[in-house]
Amino acid sequence: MSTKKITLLSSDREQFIVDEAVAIQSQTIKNLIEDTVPDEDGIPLPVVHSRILAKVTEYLTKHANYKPHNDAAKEELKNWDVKFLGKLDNNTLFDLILAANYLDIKGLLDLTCQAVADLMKGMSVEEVRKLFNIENDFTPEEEEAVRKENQWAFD
Amino acid sequence: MDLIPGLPDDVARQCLIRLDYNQLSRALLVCNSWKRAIQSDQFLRQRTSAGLARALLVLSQADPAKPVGCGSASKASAAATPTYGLTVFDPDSGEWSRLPPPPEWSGNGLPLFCECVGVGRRVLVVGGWDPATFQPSRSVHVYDFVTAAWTRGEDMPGPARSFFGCAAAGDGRTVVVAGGHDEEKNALRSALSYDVESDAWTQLADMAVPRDECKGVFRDGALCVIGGYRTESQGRFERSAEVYDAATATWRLAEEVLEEEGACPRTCAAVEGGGGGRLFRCRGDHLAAAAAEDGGEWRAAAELPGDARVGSYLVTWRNRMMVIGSGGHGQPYSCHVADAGSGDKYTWREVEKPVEFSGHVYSGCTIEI
Repeated sequence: MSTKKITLLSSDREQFIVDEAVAIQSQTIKNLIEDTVPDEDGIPLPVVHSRILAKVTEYLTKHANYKPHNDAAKEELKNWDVKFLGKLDNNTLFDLILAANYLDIKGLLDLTCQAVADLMKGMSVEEVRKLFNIENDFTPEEEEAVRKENQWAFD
Repeated sequence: MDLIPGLPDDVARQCLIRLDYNQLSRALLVCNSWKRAIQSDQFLRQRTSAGLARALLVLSQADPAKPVGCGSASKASAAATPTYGLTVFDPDSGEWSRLPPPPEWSGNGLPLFCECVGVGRRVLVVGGWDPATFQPSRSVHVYDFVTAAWTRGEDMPGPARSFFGCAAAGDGRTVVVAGGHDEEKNALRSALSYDVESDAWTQLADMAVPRDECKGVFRDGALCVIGGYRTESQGRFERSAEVYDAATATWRLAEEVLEEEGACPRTCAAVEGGGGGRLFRCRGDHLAAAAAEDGGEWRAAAELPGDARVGSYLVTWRNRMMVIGSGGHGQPYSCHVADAGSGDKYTWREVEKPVEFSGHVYSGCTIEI
């Protein structure tokens, strides 16, 4: 089994040394390993800060070393994901989405996008706008019309 | 404007498609770009391809709090009539809920004997008898599970039709209404199609046979109108069915679709797959199945649960089915699900439900959201 190590370099030039099998779950890192000559300090990831890269490598390490082959193992991994997400504040969650998108890690992107959707559970429209810093661009008439259309919303 | 400030739109869209279906109507109110994104066809396509789309069962169900035989004795007909509403069952979460009725029917409940048809993310309530007057209604009401709102569709043209067959055509927008009887109780061979997107009715070719109390199902990629009886042979159900060929806009008569003369097609339901699909029917104490892999021959496929053999109704979705029925007159309705794939042994599993969802089901369908 290959235990070749890969050094990843965050935007603030902190080194993260991981197994190659861990790193190449990121399609972007896999391509960088194949197509570029590495920086002598490691593979530069200029848009990912060390604070986020630490989270990314934590996720990748767990998922590389844990191939669930039965329901109990799948459940354990799911619980680990829930715990992993539970420790994140909203800003970190957003940064992690951007990193997962840039690094092309489908599992992490799906997980973090679901976490964003779950944040909205039980929130009022105004709370959702505040959460994402979204401006209400409906005219009062439009808003009234949508609300009227919406009066049969069921819960 | 960005869907979510700070996130690329395609990533933000990945977040929005992960909303629960019952959060969507609220999310529409956030801003214009969310409203546009969520109401686009692409949105539901993305949900489906990411495996996030839910199948929901929608049933027209009697309210057991207003059961048959209760109410004021002075109005005998009204007293004997239960009030119907729309029940939603989410088979993934096991949750039961009630949809608000269309505004027109908020007083006395849904029309009696109305058909519920699922078309993509919408459910249609078509026809039936006005519960206050017992007059046949031509009305069409459309509930959109994205906007969580009712709209009234164009009325059904032609004679005021009752006990027609009705099914969605599988293209996500068309519903076919066929047969039934007119106000003089003449069985009808005429058929109509309704386009949900354009809110317009089109007359279709007549069927070969008039079919009162026929059943519409979508089977093996085609719309199929099963059984029914002629004016002069009340209750003597035909064995034949008619299959609509959309390419030539004609009906093809299929003989001997049902296993015996007099077989009421009311509980017929189809499941796709197995090279021609499978047709199921509740038949007394058992479930009968006609599968393409068995040459279309009917056989007793499984026993029906003892507490669901009377007044049964069968709904299929994806590769599963649910039977709702009671153990006898006046008893509560129970609900059981089974896998409906080929080679399955059709093992029933009872579904837990609150007592308010234990009424008779007249019609049911599935929607995808």
